[in-house]
Amino acid sequence: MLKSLQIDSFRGFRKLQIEPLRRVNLVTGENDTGKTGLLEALYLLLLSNANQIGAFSSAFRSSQRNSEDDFRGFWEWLFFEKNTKLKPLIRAKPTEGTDMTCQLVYAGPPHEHVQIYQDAETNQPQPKFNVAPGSYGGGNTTRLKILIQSTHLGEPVNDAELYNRVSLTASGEERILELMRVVEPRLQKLRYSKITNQPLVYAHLGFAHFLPATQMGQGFSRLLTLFCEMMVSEAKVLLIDEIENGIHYSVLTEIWKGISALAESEDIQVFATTHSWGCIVAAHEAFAATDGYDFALHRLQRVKGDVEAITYDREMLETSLKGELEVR
Amino acid sequence: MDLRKVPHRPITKTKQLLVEGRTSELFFAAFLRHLGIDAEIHDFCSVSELRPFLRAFCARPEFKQMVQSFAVVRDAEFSVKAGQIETVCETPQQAFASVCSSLAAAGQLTPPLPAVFTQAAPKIGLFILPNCRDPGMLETLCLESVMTSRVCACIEQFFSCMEREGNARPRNLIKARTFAFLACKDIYDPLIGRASQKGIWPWVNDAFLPLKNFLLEL
Repeated sequence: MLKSLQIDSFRGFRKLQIEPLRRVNLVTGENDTGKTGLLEALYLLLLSNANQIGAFSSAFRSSQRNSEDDFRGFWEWLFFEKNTKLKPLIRAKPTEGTDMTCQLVYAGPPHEHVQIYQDAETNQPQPKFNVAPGSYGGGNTTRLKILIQSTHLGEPVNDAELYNRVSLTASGEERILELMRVVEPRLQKLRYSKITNQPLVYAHLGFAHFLPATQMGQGFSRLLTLFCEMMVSEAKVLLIDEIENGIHYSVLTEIWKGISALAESEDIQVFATTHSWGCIVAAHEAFAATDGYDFALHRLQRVKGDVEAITYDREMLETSLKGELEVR
Repeated sequence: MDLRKVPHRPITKTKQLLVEGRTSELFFAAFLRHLGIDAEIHDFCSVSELRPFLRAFCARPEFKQMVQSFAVVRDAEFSVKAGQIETVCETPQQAFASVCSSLAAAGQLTPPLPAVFTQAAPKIGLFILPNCRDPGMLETLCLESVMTSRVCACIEQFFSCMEREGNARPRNLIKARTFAFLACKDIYDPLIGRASQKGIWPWVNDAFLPLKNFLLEL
Protein backbone atom coordinates (compact mmCIF):
# COMPACT_ATOMS: atom_id res chain seq x y z
CA MET A 1 0.00 0.00 0.00
CA LEU A 2 1.16 3.55 -0.68
CA LYS A 3 1.58 5.83 2.34
CA SER A 4 2.28 9.13 0.62
CA LEU A 5 2.51 10.63 -2.84
CA GLN A 6 4.59 13.48 -4.23
CA ILE A 7 4.08 14.88 -7.72
CA ASP A 8 6.45 17.47 -9.21
CA SER A 9 6.09 19.33 -12.52
CA PHE A 10 3.41 16.97 -13.78
CA ARG A 11 0.24 18.24 -15.53
CA GLY A 12 -1.09 21.19 -13.47
CA PHE A 13 0.96 20.31 -10.39
CA ARG A 14 4.04 22.38 -9.78
CA LYS A 15 4.65 20.54 -6.51
CA LEU A 16 1.99 18.44 -4.81
CA GLN A 17 2.32 16.41 -1.63
CA ILE A 18 -0.43 14.09 -0.37
CA GLU A 19 -0.05 12.46 3.00
CA PRO A 20 -1.21 10.28 4.61
CA LEU A 21 -2.81 7.98 2.09
CA ARG A 22 -5.34 5.47 3.40
CA ARG A 23 -6.84 2.21 2.19
CA VAL A 24 -9.60 4.19 0.43
CA ASN A 25 -8.86 7.70 -0.83
CA LEU A 26 -11.49 10.01 -2.24
CA VAL A 27 -10.19 12.92 -4.31
CA THR A 28 -12.29 16.06 -4.66
CA GLY A 29 -11.79 19.55 -6.03
CA GLU A 30 -13.24 22.05 -8.45
CA ASN A 31 -12.95 21.59 -12.21
CA ASP A 32 -9.40 21.64 -13.56
CA THR A 33 -7.70 21.24 -10.20
CA GLY A 34 -6.19 17.92 -11.29
CA LYS A 35 -8.32 15.07 -9.93
CA THR A 36 -7.94 13.01 -13.09
CA GLY A 37 -4.31 14.15 -13.37
CA LEU A 38 -3.70 12.63 -9.96
CA LEU A 39 -5.09 9.28 -11.15
CA GLU A 40 -2.87 9.56 -14.22
CA ALA A 41 0.17 10.16 -12.03
CA LEU A 42 -0.60 6.96 -10.13
CA TYR A 43 -1.12 5.12 -13.42
CA LEU A 44 2.32 6.21 -14.66
CA LEU A 45 3.96 5.41 -11.35
CA LEU A 46 2.61 1.87 -11.50
CA LEU A 47 3.28 1.17 -15.21
CA SER A 48 4.36 -2.43 -15.59
CA ASN A 49 4.27 -3.06 -19.34
CA ALA A 50 4.25 -1.29 -22.67
CA ASN A 51 0.61 -2.16 -23.39
CA GLN A 52 -0.38 0.05 -20.48
CA ILE A 53 1.42 2.94 -22.17
CA GLY A 54 -0.65 2.37 -25.28
CA ALA A 55 -3.82 2.50 -23.22
CA PHE A 56 -2.73 5.42 -21.05
CA SER A 57 -4.00 8.38 -23.06
CA SER A 58 -7.51 6.90 -23.27
CA ALA A 59 -7.62 5.49 -19.74
CA PHE A 60 -9.41 8.53 -18.35
CA ARG A 61 -9.78 10.90 -21.31
CA SER A 62 -10.88 10.95 -24.93
CA SER A 63 -7.89 10.47 -27.20
CA GLN A 64 -6.63 9.05 -30.45
CA ARG A 65 -4.43 6.25 -29.21
CA ASN A 66 -0.86 6.05 -30.45
CA SER A 67 -1.22 8.73 -33.05
CA GLU A 68 0.96 11.75 -33.76
CA ASP A 69 -1.91 13.85 -32.40
CA ASP A 70 -1.89 11.83 -29.24
CA PHE A 71 1.79 12.61 -28.69
CA ARG A 72 1.23 16.32 -29.24
CA GLY A 73 -2.18 16.56 -27.59
CA PHE A 74 -1.58 14.29 -24.61
CA TRP A 75 2.01 13.33 -23.81
CA GLU A 76 3.47 16.80 -24.18
CA TRP A 77 0.82 18.13 -21.83
CA LEU A 78 2.00 15.84 -19.06
CA PHE A 79 4.83 18.31 -18.56
CA PHE A 80 3.91 21.19 -16.25
CA GLU A 81 2.85 24.15 -18.38
CA LYS A 82 3.97 22.09 -21.40
CA ASN A 83 7.54 22.94 -20.49
CA THR A 84 9.39 19.92 -21.86
CA LYS A 85 12.64 21.07 -20.27
CA LEU A 86 11.18 19.99 -16.93
CA LYS A 87 11.42 16.39 -15.76
CA PRO A 88 8.12 15.49 -14.11
CA LEU A 89 8.63 13.24 -11.11
CA ILE A 90 6.10 11.07 -9.29
CA ARG A 91 7.24 9.53 -6.03
CA ALA A 92 5.38 7.31 -3.57
CA LYS A 93 6.34 5.79 -0.25
CA PRO A 94 5.00 2.27 0.16
CA THR A 95 4.30 0.75 3.57
CA GLU A 96 7.29 -1.51 3.07
CA GLY A 97 10.42 -1.14 0.99
CA THR A 98 12.01 1.79 -0.75
CA ASP A 99 10.34 4.69 -2.53
CA MET A 100 8.80 4.10 -5.94
CA THR A 101 9.41 6.78 -8.56
CA CYS A 102 8.55 7.53 -12.14
CA GLN A 103 10.22 10.32 -14.08
CA LEU A 104 9.46 11.64 -17.54
CA VAL A 105 12.18 13.08 -19.73
CA TYR A 106 11.56 14.74 -23.08
CA ALA A 107 14.17 13.94 -25.73
CA GLY A 108 14.68 15.37 -29.20
CA PRO A 109 14.25 16.71 -31.81
CA PRO A 110 14.95 15.36 -34.40
CA HIS A 111 13.63 12.10 -32.91
CA GLU A 112 11.20 13.41 -30.39
CA HIS A 113 10.13 11.00 -27.69
CA VAL A 114 9.31 10.82 -24.01
CA GLN A 115 11.45 8.57 -21.85
CA ILE A 116 9.95 7.01 -18.76
CA TYR A 117 12.35 6.07 -15.97
CA GLN A 118 11.32 4.10 -12.93
CA ASP A 119 12.82 4.07 -9.45
CA ALA A 120 16.43 4.91 -10.34
CA GLU A 121 15.43 8.10 -12.16
CA THR A 122 17.59 9.48 -14.92
CA ASN A 123 20.99 8.14 -13.82
CA GLN A 124 19.95 4.82 -15.34
CA PRO A 125 21.48 4.29 -18.78
CA GLN A 126 18.17 3.29 -20.37
CA PRO A 127 14.62 4.34 -19.66
CA LYS A 128 12.11 1.59 -18.87
CA PHE A 129 9.68 2.83 -21.52
CA ASN A 130 9.71 5.14 -24.54
CA VAL A 131 6.88 6.99 -26.20
CA ALA A 132 7.33 8.56 -29.63
CA PRO A 133 4.73 10.02 -32.00
CA GLY A 134 2.70 7.01 -33.11
CA SER A 135 4.70 4.38 -31.24
CA TYR A 136 5.71 3.19 -27.81
CA GLY A 137 7.85 0.45 -26.34
CA GLY A 138 9.52 -1.04 -23.29
CA GLY A 139 9.83 -4.21 -21.27
CA ASN A 140 7.92 -5.58 -18.33
CA THR A 141 8.54 -4.42 -14.79
CA THR A 142 7.27 -5.56 -11.42
CA ARG A 143 4.81 -3.08 -10.02
CA LEU A 144 1.67 -3.12 -7.91
CA LYS A 145 -1.03 -4.22 -10.32
CA ILE A 146 -3.50 -1.46 -11.15
CA LEU A 147 -7.13 -1.60 -12.08
CA ILE A 148 -8.83 1.30 -13.85
CA GLN A 149 -12.45 2.25 -13.83
CA SER A 150 -13.10 5.27 -16.00
CA THR A 151 -16.45 6.86 -16.70
CA HIS A 152 -16.82 4.69 -19.84
CA LEU A 153 -18.72 1.43 -19.51
CA GLY A 154 -16.75 -1.77 -20.00
CA GLU A 155 -17.21 -4.23 -22.86
CA PRO A 156 -20.15 -6.54 -22.05
CA VAL A 157 -18.14 -9.60 -23.17
CA ASN A 158 -15.32 -8.75 -20.80
CA ASP A 159 -17.82 -8.20 -18.00
CA ALA A 160 -19.34 -11.61 -18.71
CA GLU A 161 -15.94 -13.30 -18.57
CA LEU A 162 -15.18 -11.48 -15.34
CA TYR A 163 -18.43 -12.64 -13.81
CA ASN A 164 -17.73 -16.16 -14.98
CA ARG A 165 -14.45 -16.10 -13.09
CA VAL A 166 -16.17 -14.75 -10.00
CA SER A 167 -18.79 -17.51 -10.16
CA LEU A 168 -16.02 -20.11 -10.11
CA THR A 169 -14.64 -18.83 -6.79
CA ALA A 170 -15.93 -20.06 -3.44
CA SER A 171 -19.07 -18.07 -2.52
CA GLY A 172 -18.24 -15.56 -5.28
CA GLU A 173 -21.77 -15.64 -6.72
CA GLU A 174 -23.39 -15.07 -3.33
CA ARG A 175 -21.06 -12.21 -2.56
CA ILE A 176 -21.73 -10.42 -5.85
CA LEU A 177 -25.49 -10.96 -5.48
CA GLU A 178 -25.43 -9.41 -2.04
CA LEU A 179 -23.44 -6.40 -3.29
CA MET A 180 -25.59 -5.88 -6.39
CA ARG A 181 -28.89 -6.09 -4.49
CA VAL A 182 -28.03 -2.68 -3.03
CA VAL A 183 -28.73 -1.13 -6.44
CA GLU A 184 -31.32 -3.68 -7.59
CA PRO A 185 -33.22 -5.17 -4.66
CA ARG A 186 -35.28 -7.41 -7.00
CA LEU A 187 -32.17 -9.26 -8.10
CA GLN A 188 -32.51 -13.00 -7.44
CA LYS A 189 -29.76 -14.51 -9.52
CA LEU A 190 -27.00 -13.64 -12.00
CA ARG A 191 -25.99 -16.05 -14.73
CA TYR A 192 -23.19 -16.22 -17.31
CA SER A 193 -24.66 -17.50 -20.56
CA LYS A 194 -23.87 -17.60 -24.26
CA ILE A 195 -27.21 -17.51 -26.03
CA THR A 196 -26.03 -15.48 -29.02
CA ASN A 197 -22.51 -15.22 -30.45
CA GLN A 198 -21.08 -13.59 -27.38
CA PRO A 199 -21.48 -14.43 -23.71
CA LEU A 200 -23.34 -11.99 -21.48
CA VAL A 201 -24.36 -11.70 -17.85
CA TYR A 202 -28.08 -12.20 -17.34
CA ALA A 203 -30.04 -11.06 -14.30
CA HIS A 204 -33.10 -12.75 -12.83
CA LEU A 205 -35.40 -10.09 -11.42
CA GLY A 206 -38.39 -12.35 -10.85
CA PHE A 207 -39.73 -12.06 -14.39
CA ALA A 208 -40.38 -15.02 -16.72
CA HIS A 209 -37.08 -14.35 -18.53
CA PHE A 210 -33.60 -13.42 -17.41
CA LEU A 211 -32.66 -9.90 -18.48
CA PRO A 212 -29.29 -9.18 -20.15
CA ALA A 213 -27.26 -6.98 -17.77
CA THR A 214 -26.60 -4.72 -20.76
CA GLN A 215 -30.30 -3.78 -20.67
CA MET A 216 -30.15 -2.63 -17.09
CA GLY A 217 -29.04 0.79 -15.86
CA GLN A 218 -25.54 2.20 -16.25
CA GLY A 219 -25.00 2.15 -12.49
CA PHE A 220 -25.78 -1.57 -12.34
CA SER A 221 -23.34 -2.41 -15.15
CA ARG A 222 -20.62 -0.19 -13.76
CA LEU A 223 -20.86 -1.66 -10.28
CA LEU A 224 -21.01 -5.22 -11.58
CA THR A 225 -17.74 -4.62 -13.42
CA LEU A 226 -16.19 -2.90 -10.42
CA PHE A 227 -17.08 -5.55 -7.85
CA CYS A 228 -16.15 -8.46 -10.14
CA GLU A 229 -12.80 -6.89 -10.97
CA MET A 230 -12.04 -6.22 -7.32
CA MET A 231 -12.73 -9.88 -6.56
CA VAL A 232 -10.73 -11.59 -9.31
CA SER A 233 -8.25 -9.20 -10.88
CA GLU A 234 -5.62 -9.48 -8.11
CA ALA A 235 -5.04 -5.74 -8.51
CA LYS A 236 -3.46 -3.86 -5.63
CA VAL A 237 -4.41 -0.34 -6.65
CA LEU A 238 -7.81 0.65 -8.01
CA LEU A 239 -8.28 3.98 -9.80
CA ILE A 240 -11.90 5.12 -10.26
CA ASP A 241 -12.83 8.34 -12.02
CA GLU A 242 -16.13 9.93 -10.95
CA ILE A 243 -17.18 7.03 -8.79
CA GLU A 244 -20.77 8.22 -8.30
CA ASN A 245 -21.52 8.21 -12.04
CA GLY A 246 -24.83 6.50 -12.75
CA ILE A 247 -25.53 5.69 -9.11
CA HIS A 248 -28.40 7.12 -7.06
CA TYR A 249 -27.21 8.92 -3.91
CA SER A 250 -29.49 6.88 -1.65
CA VAL A 251 -27.49 3.68 -2.20
CA LEU A 252 -24.03 5.23 -2.08
CA THR A 253 -23.40 4.47 1.60
CA GLU A 254 -24.03 0.76 1.05
CA ILE A 255 -21.87 0.80 -2.06
CA TRP A 256 -19.02 2.37 -0.11
CA LYS A 257 -19.44 -0.34 2.50
CA GLY A 258 -19.12 -2.92 -0.26
CA ILE A 259 -16.01 -1.24 -1.67
CA SER A 260 -14.54 -0.94 1.82
CA ALA A 261 -15.09 -4.64 2.55
CA LEU A 262 -13.64 -5.77 -0.79
CA ALA A 263 -10.68 -3.40 -0.56
CA GLU A 264 -9.87 -4.85 2.86
CA SER A 265 -10.39 -8.52 1.98
CA GLU A 266 -8.59 -8.34 -1.38
CA ASP A 267 -5.88 -5.95 -0.12
CA ILE A 268 -6.63 -3.22 -2.67
CA GLN A 269 -5.88 0.48 -2.20
CA VAL A 270 -8.57 2.63 -3.79
CA PHE A 271 -8.25 6.11 -5.31
CA ALA A 272 -11.54 7.57 -6.52
CA THR A 273 -12.63 11.02 -7.64
CA THR A 274 -15.98 12.70 -7.19
CA HIS A 275 -17.79 16.02 -7.45
CA SER A 276 -20.72 14.81 -5.41
CA TRP A 277 -21.54 16.01 -1.90
CA GLY A 278 -23.79 12.97 -1.40
CA CYS A 279 -20.93 10.67 -2.37
CA ILE A 280 -18.61 12.27 0.22
CA VAL A 281 -21.21 12.06 2.97
CA ALA A 282 -21.96 8.45 2.04
CA ALA A 283 -18.27 7.51 2.17
CA HIS A 284 -17.86 9.20 5.55
CA GLU A 285 -20.91 7.39 6.92
CA ALA A 286 -19.77 4.05 5.54
CA PHE A 287 -16.27 4.29 7.00
CA ALA A 288 -17.51 5.74 10.30
CA ALA A 289 -19.34 2.43 10.69
CA THR A 290 -16.09 0.47 10.35
CA ASP A 291 -13.53 -0.19 13.08
CA GLY A 292 -10.55 1.63 11.68
CA TYR A 293 -11.93 4.41 9.43
CA ASP A 294 -9.23 3.60 6.86
CA PHE A 295 -10.39 6.43 4.62
CA ALA A 296 -9.23 9.94 3.74
CA LEU A 297 -10.60 12.71 1.61
CA HIS A 298 -8.01 14.68 -0.35
CA ARG A 299 -9.25 17.99 -1.67
CA LEU A 300 -7.27 19.56 -4.51
CA GLN A 301 -7.53 23.32 -4.48
CA ARG A 302 -5.92 26.21 -6.22
CA VAL A 303 -4.27 28.75 -3.90
CA LYS A 304 -2.51 31.73 -5.44
CA GLY A 305 -2.16 29.93 -8.75
CA ASP A 306 -0.81 26.59 -7.50
CA VAL A 307 -2.68 23.41 -6.72
CA GLU A 308 -2.33 22.02 -3.20
CA ALA A 309 -3.90 19.01 -1.52
CA ILE A 310 -5.66 19.19 1.82
CA THR A 311 -6.17 15.82 3.49
CA TYR A 312 -9.24 15.48 5.67
CA ASP A 313 -9.14 12.90 8.44
CA ARG A 314 -12.26 11.65 10.18
CA GLU A 315 -12.83 14.50 12.61
CA MET A 316 -11.89 17.22 10.15
CA LEU A 317 -14.33 15.84 7.58
CA GLU A 318 -17.09 15.31 10.14
CA THR A 319 -16.74 18.90 11.38
CA SER A 320 -16.61 20.28 7.84
CA LEU A 321 -19.81 18.47 6.92
CA LYS A 322 -21.56 19.64 10.08
CA GLY A 323 -20.16 23.16 9.87
CA GLU A 324 -21.22 23.41 6.22
CA LEU A 325 -17.72 24.03 4.92
CA GLU A 326 -17.18 23.08 1.29
CA VAL A 327 -15.19 19.89 0.78
CA ARG A 328 -16.10 19.11 -2.84
CA MET B 1 -27.69 17.17 12.06
CA ASP B 2 -28.43 16.12 8.51
CA LEU B 3 -25.01 15.78 6.89
CA ARG B 4 -26.66 15.38 3.50
CA LYS B 5 -27.60 19.06 3.51
CA VAL B 6 -25.53 20.74 0.83
CA PRO B 7 -23.11 23.28 2.36
CA HIS B 8 -23.94 26.94 1.98
CA ARG B 9 -21.34 28.68 4.10
CA PRO B 10 -18.69 30.04 1.78
CA ILE B 11 -16.02 32.39 3.09
CA THR B 12 -16.64 35.66 1.30
CA LYS B 13 -15.47 38.44 3.63
CA THR B 14 -12.11 39.64 4.89
CA LYS B 15 -13.29 39.61 8.52
CA GLN B 16 -14.43 36.35 10.06
CA LEU B 17 -15.95 35.60 13.43
CA LEU B 18 -16.13 32.03 14.69
CA VAL B 19 -18.70 31.37 17.41
CA GLU B 20 -20.17 28.34 19.12
CA GLY B 21 -23.68 27.31 18.11
CA ARG B 22 -26.70 28.83 16.45
CA THR B 23 -27.60 30.94 19.48
CA SER B 24 -24.25 32.69 19.46
CA GLU B 25 -24.49 33.14 15.72
CA LEU B 26 -27.78 35.03 16.05
CA PHE B 27 -26.51 37.04 18.98
CA PHE B 28 -23.35 38.15 17.20
CA ALA B 29 -25.17 38.88 13.96
CA ALA B 30 -27.31 41.38 15.86
CA PHE B 31 -24.38 42.82 17.82
CA LEU B 32 -22.18 43.24 14.73
CA ARG B 33 -25.06 44.92 12.94
CA HIS B 34 -25.42 47.32 15.87
CA LEU B 35 -21.67 48.05 15.77
CA GLY B 36 -21.63 48.46 11.98
CA ILE B 37 -18.99 45.75 11.52
CA ASP B 38 -19.06 43.88 8.20
CA ALA B 39 -17.87 40.43 9.23
CA GLU B 40 -18.96 36.90 8.37
CA ILE B 41 -19.99 34.58 11.19
CA HIS B 42 -19.34 30.85 11.23
CA ASP B 43 -20.68 28.36 13.74
CA PHE B 44 -17.95 25.95 14.85
CA CYS B 45 -20.64 23.66 16.34
CA SER B 46 -19.20 22.93 19.80
CA VAL B 47 -16.06 23.52 21.84
CA SER B 48 -14.96 19.92 21.37
CA GLU B 49 -15.19 20.41 17.59
CA LEU B 50 -13.29 23.69 17.47
CA ARG B 51 -9.92 22.05 16.78
CA PRO B 52 -10.97 20.10 13.64
CA PHE B 53 -13.17 23.02 12.56
CA LEU B 54 -10.20 25.40 12.67
CA ARG B 55 -8.06 22.92 10.73
CA ALA B 56 -10.73 22.70 8.04
CA PHE B 57 -11.58 26.41 8.07
CA CYS B 58 -7.97 27.59 7.83
CA ALA B 59 -7.31 25.09 5.02
CA ARG B 60 -9.95 26.65 2.78
CA PRO B 61 -8.48 28.45 -0.24
CA GLU B 62 -10.71 31.48 0.38
CA PHE B 63 -9.30 31.73 3.88
CA LYS B 64 -5.74 31.67 2.59
CA GLN B 65 -6.40 34.20 -0.12
CA MET B 66 -8.90 36.59 1.40
CA VAL B 67 -9.16 36.63 5.18
CA GLN B 68 -7.36 39.52 6.85
CA SER B 69 -8.58 39.03 10.41
CA PHE B 70 -10.58 36.55 12.39
CA ALA B 71 -11.70 36.04 15.93
CA VAL B 72 -12.84 33.08 17.97
CA VAL B 73 -15.37 33.61 20.74
CA ARG B 74 -16.25 30.86 23.18
CA ASP B 75 -17.61 30.39 26.69
CA ALA B 76 -15.45 29.78 29.71
CA GLU B 77 -17.54 26.67 30.27
CA PHE B 78 -19.08 24.23 27.88
CA SER B 79 -21.76 21.57 27.83
CA VAL B 80 -21.01 17.92 27.38
CA LYS B 81 -24.11 16.25 26.03
CA ALA B 82 -22.80 12.71 25.93
CA GLY B 83 -22.85 11.11 29.37
CA GLN B 84 -24.39 12.58 32.47
CA ILE B 85 -22.26 15.67 32.95
CA GLU B 86 -24.13 18.75 31.89
CA THR B 87 -21.40 21.33 32.04
CA VAL B 88 -17.66 21.33 32.39
CA CYS B 89 -16.16 24.44 33.91
CA GLU B 90 -12.92 25.89 32.70
CA THR B 91 -11.28 29.04 33.91
CA PRO B 92 -11.03 31.73 31.25
CA GLN B 93 -7.27 31.06 31.22
CA GLN B 94 -7.83 27.37 30.55
CA ALA B 95 -10.35 28.15 27.82
CA PHE B 96 -7.89 30.60 26.25
CA ALA B 97 -5.08 28.02 26.34
CA SER B 98 -7.37 25.43 24.80
CA VAL B 99 -8.26 27.68 21.84
CA CYS B 100 -4.59 28.64 21.38
CA SER B 101 -3.73 24.95 21.14
CA SER B 102 -6.43 24.48 18.48
CA LEU B 103 -5.13 27.48 16.54
CA ALA B 104 -1.61 26.09 16.62
CA ALA B 105 -2.90 22.73 15.35
CA ALA B 106 -4.41 24.64 12.43
CA GLY B 107 -1.02 26.21 11.68
CA GLN B 108 -2.00 29.66 12.95
CA LEU B 109 -0.27 32.11 15.26
CA THR B 110 -1.68 32.52 18.75
CA PRO B 111 -2.46 35.83 20.42
CA PRO B 112 -0.51 36.69 23.58
CA LEU B 113 -3.58 37.38 25.71
CA PRO B 114 -7.37 37.14 25.52
CA ALA B 115 -8.94 40.06 23.65
CA VAL B 116 -5.57 41.03 22.13
CA PHE B 117 -5.07 40.49 18.38
CA THR B 118 -1.92 39.15 16.78
CA GLN B 119 -0.23 41.66 14.51
CA ALA B 120 0.79 39.45 11.57
CA ALA B 121 -1.74 38.73 8.82
CA PRO B 122 -4.24 37.37 9.34
CA LYS B 123 -4.89 39.17 12.61
CA ILE B 124 -6.21 36.67 15.15
CA GLY B 125 -8.02 37.37 18.42
CA LEU B 126 -9.73 35.26 21.09
CA PHE B 127 -12.47 36.32 23.44
CA ILE B 128 -13.60 34.17 26.35
CA LEU B 129 -17.13 34.98 27.44
CA PRO B 130 -18.42 36.69 29.44
CA ASN B 131 -15.50 39.15 29.77
CA CYS B 132 -12.19 37.23 29.52
CA ARG B 133 -11.89 37.41 33.29
CA ASP B 134 -14.80 35.68 35.02
CA PRO B 135 -16.23 32.22 34.49
CA GLY B 136 -19.51 32.06 32.63
CA MET B 137 -21.09 32.10 29.22
CA LEU B 138 -23.01 34.26 26.79
CA GLU B 139 -26.07 34.17 29.06
CA THR B 140 -23.95 35.54 31.92
CA LEU B 141 -23.11 38.55 29.81
CA CYS B 142 -26.65 39.14 28.56
CA LEU B 143 -28.11 38.75 32.01
CA GLU B 144 -25.60 41.19 33.46
CA SER B 145 -26.72 43.79 30.97
CA VAL B 146 -30.34 43.69 32.19
CA MET B 147 -29.99 42.66 35.83
CA THR B 148 -30.83 45.61 37.98
CA SER B 149 -31.14 44.71 41.63
CA ARG B 150 -34.96 44.81 41.37
CA VAL B 151 -35.12 42.47 38.38
CA CYS B 152 -32.67 40.18 40.09
CA ALA B 153 -34.82 40.07 43.22
CA CYS B 154 -37.98 39.29 41.20
CA ILE B 155 -36.37 36.35 39.43
CA GLU B 156 -34.85 35.01 42.66
CA GLN B 157 -38.26 35.15 44.30
CA PHE B 158 -39.73 33.23 41.40
CA PHE B 159 -37.20 30.38 41.76
CA SER B 160 -37.56 30.34 45.55
CA CYS B 161 -41.33 30.15 45.19
CA MET B 162 -41.06 27.28 42.68
CA GLU B 163 -38.68 25.48 45.02
CA ARG B 164 -41.14 25.73 47.91
CA GLU B 165 -43.70 24.09 45.64
CA GLY B 166 -41.44 21.08 45.28
CA ASN B 167 -39.55 22.01 42.10
CA ALA B 168 -35.81 21.45 42.32
CA ARG B 169 -33.51 24.38 41.62
CA PRO B 170 -32.43 24.43 37.97
CA ARG B 171 -28.94 23.00 37.51
CA ASN B 172 -27.86 25.87 35.30
CA LEU B 173 -29.14 28.90 37.17
CA ILE B 174 -27.66 31.42 34.74
CA LYS B 175 -29.56 29.96 31.81
CA ALA B 176 -32.72 29.52 33.90
CA ARG B 177 -32.61 33.16 35.04
CA THR B 178 -32.12 34.29 31.44
CA PHE B 179 -35.08 32.23 30.25
CA ALA B 180 -37.22 33.57 33.09
CA PHE B 181 -36.29 37.10 32.11
CA LEU B 182 -37.03 36.47 28.42
CA ALA B 183 -40.37 34.87 29.26
CA CYS B 184 -41.41 38.25 30.70
CA LYS B 185 -40.45 39.86 27.38
CA ASP B 186 -42.84 37.74 25.35
CA ILE B 187 -39.98 35.58 24.05
CA TYR B 188 -41.19 32.09 24.71
CA ASP B 189 -38.54 30.39 22.63
CA PRO B 190 -35.75 30.64 25.21
CA LEU B 191 -32.98 31.52 22.80
CA ILE B 192 -30.92 34.56 23.64
CA GLY B 193 -29.92 34.68 20.00
CA ARG B 194 -33.50 35.24 18.99
CA ALA B 195 -33.87 37.79 21.74
CA SER B 196 -30.87 39.59 20.26
CA GLN B 197 -32.60 39.72 16.89
CA LYS B 198 -35.61 41.29 18.64
CA GLY B 199 -33.50 43.99 20.25
CA ILE B 200 -33.94 42.85 23.85
CA TRP B 201 -30.36 43.36 24.98
CA PRO B 202 -29.20 46.92 25.68
CA TRP B 203 -26.05 47.03 23.56
CA VAL B 204 -24.90 50.29 25.12
CA ASN B 205 -24.77 48.76 28.60
CA ASP B 206 -21.29 48.66 30.15
CA ALA B 207 -21.49 44.88 30.41
CA PHE B 208 -20.97 44.66 26.66
CA LEU B 209 -18.04 47.11 26.59
CA PRO B 210 -15.11 44.60 26.66
CA LEU B 211 -16.74 42.52 23.92
CA LYS B 212 -17.57 45.62 21.90
CA ASN B 213 -13.98 46.90 22.11
CA PHE B 214 -12.70 43.51 21.04
CA LEU B 215 -15.01 43.27 18.02
CA LEU B 216 -14.14 46.77 16.90
CA GLU B 217 -10.51 45.58 16.60
CA LEU B 218 -11.53 42.80 14.20
